Amino acid sequence: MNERPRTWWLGPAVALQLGGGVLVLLAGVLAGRPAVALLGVPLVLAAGYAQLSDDPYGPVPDARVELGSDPWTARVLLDAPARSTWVRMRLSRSGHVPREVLLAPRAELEVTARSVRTGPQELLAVDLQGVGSGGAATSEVVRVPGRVVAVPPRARRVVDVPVPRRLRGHTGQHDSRRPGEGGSLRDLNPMGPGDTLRRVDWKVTARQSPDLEQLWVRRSFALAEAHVVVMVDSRDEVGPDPRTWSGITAVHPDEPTSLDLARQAADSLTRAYLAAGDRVGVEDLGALRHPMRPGSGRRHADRVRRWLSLVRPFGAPRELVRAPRVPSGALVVVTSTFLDSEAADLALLWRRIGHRVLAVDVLPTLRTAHLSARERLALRLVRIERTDRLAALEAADVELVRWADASADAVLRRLTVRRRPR
Amino acid sequence: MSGGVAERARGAWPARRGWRRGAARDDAAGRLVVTLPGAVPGWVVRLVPPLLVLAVGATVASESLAWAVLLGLAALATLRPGGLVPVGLTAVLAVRLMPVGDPGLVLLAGLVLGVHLVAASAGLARHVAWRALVDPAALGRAAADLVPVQVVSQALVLVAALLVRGAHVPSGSLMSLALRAVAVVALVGVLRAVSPRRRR
Repeated sequence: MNERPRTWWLGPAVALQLGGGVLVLLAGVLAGRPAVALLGVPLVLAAGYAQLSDDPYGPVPDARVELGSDPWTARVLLDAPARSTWVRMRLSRSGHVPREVLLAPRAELEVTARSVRTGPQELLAVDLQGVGSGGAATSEVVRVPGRVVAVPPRARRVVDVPVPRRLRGHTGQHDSRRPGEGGSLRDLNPMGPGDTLRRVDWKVTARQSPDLEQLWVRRSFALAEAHVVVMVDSRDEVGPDPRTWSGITAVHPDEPTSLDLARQAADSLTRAYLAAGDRVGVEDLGALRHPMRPGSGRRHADRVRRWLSLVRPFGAPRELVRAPRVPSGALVVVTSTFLDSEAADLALLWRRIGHRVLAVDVLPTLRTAHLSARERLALRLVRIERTDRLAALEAADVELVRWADASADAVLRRLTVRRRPR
Repeated sequence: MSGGVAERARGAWPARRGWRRGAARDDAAGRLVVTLPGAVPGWVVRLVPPLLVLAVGATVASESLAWAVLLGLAALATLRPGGLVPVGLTAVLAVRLMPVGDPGLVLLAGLVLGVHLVAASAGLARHVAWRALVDPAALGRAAADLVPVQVVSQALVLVAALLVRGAHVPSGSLMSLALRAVAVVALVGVLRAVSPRRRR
């Protein structure tokens, strides 16, 4: 006995067409009407062919999904058996309307899903069914699960970024308070031990000492680098529609969530600091992951971007026993929605220790016009608490930037001007 | 108008995308774009069987009852395209042709082609959703599958027309024997269809 499972089934249409065709054929024959009999011939022939070519244990179509030229494009590589006249395909991706396609067996198919969402997401799930014998036979459905791909954030160009009050090291692009090489002019001084001839300012010397009794040298500030730690609060991911905050309905793929904004903010600020030669570390406040140690350079920027593209809410948020350690004198950037007090408490703690703290509010601009009265009331309560929290941060000298606003870059520039180190 | 009444009046209108700033989006999900050059929308394929039913039926239908049956078949072909539609159309054509006898070679060939097209298009439409996309190569394969059966059917029509020219077939004549041979082939096909199949 053959133990192979059955994979193809003939539909009831075959028996119906065969039976109907034979009846019409017999009626024409018995009535002596060849025209009537001939009407049943195509039905009998088509159904008979489907019946004769039936193979209930034949191979079924299969497919492989590969990443296309970008994270939003998938290539479906199809492997259809010869008996499949057509292949029925159902393409689905989270947040998108499933699409059905009827294909002739072909090598591959390209599917694009436009989305502004970043982070880990399912590329494309495919359901396949072979259709044979002119639609009379169908195979079992094969499900090809979607691969998870990490979509990197798209950085926004940030021109000016605030720096910590204390700068460190002897490299970088910021002027430190110490005299040294490379920085801007500190003062003019009579030449002393240790001053090289290259530093002599001949114009000043000619003015101050026409008889060349004393040489005058230009002294400059040393260069230094800033240490920055970016804290990403991945505990919640909310969209602009408060109705989706329950998690039952999906956020539209054209709308960025708070975590998309957090990834973008962290990536943009990281790139801006690294472009200035600073050292940047990144840490996740929501999940137990290894933090990105502070580093500098373009490769570090790419590592941070890959790290950020894997940030996602992971189960129930853990309670922090102690605040993550931050290097002395570092600027702390906290990206959060501040819908609860944990991130705000940590920001206050770091500020009290003496760090300069930049709170980046990544809550998207909310759409509230369609909410019911109860939902509006609930949202209002949440907003009151959040507004109080943000006001407490500002009162404690934590600088606040709302990333969803178009003015975020201007606010950052203003912070740079106000806190320029001397 | 008070604020509450104005709010209720606004709420009575369906929220449309872009109609009001901050309104709910009616498109709850994004769209997947399939790169398939020359793809035919599914609704076009789904509308072919009912249109073919009406076109083929119109060649013989003259009474209101026949039209009513044809409209019913067209509705069935629109909603549930399947095996019942070509069988029903064939039955209607057979009933109309029975008293006529010989409809003429061209009309008979057209009717045989029409019945087959309805059967094939219904078989295709059964696997196509209204919002689906259909690969043009899939339509090509459907047309290719149509050819062998149609060639045999049209050959039989030609043979029948040459032999009997629409007259009643006297028992024992060559045409009568040919028709009986076709009937035997059909019966064998039916028997094979209903007999239990061996597993391979």
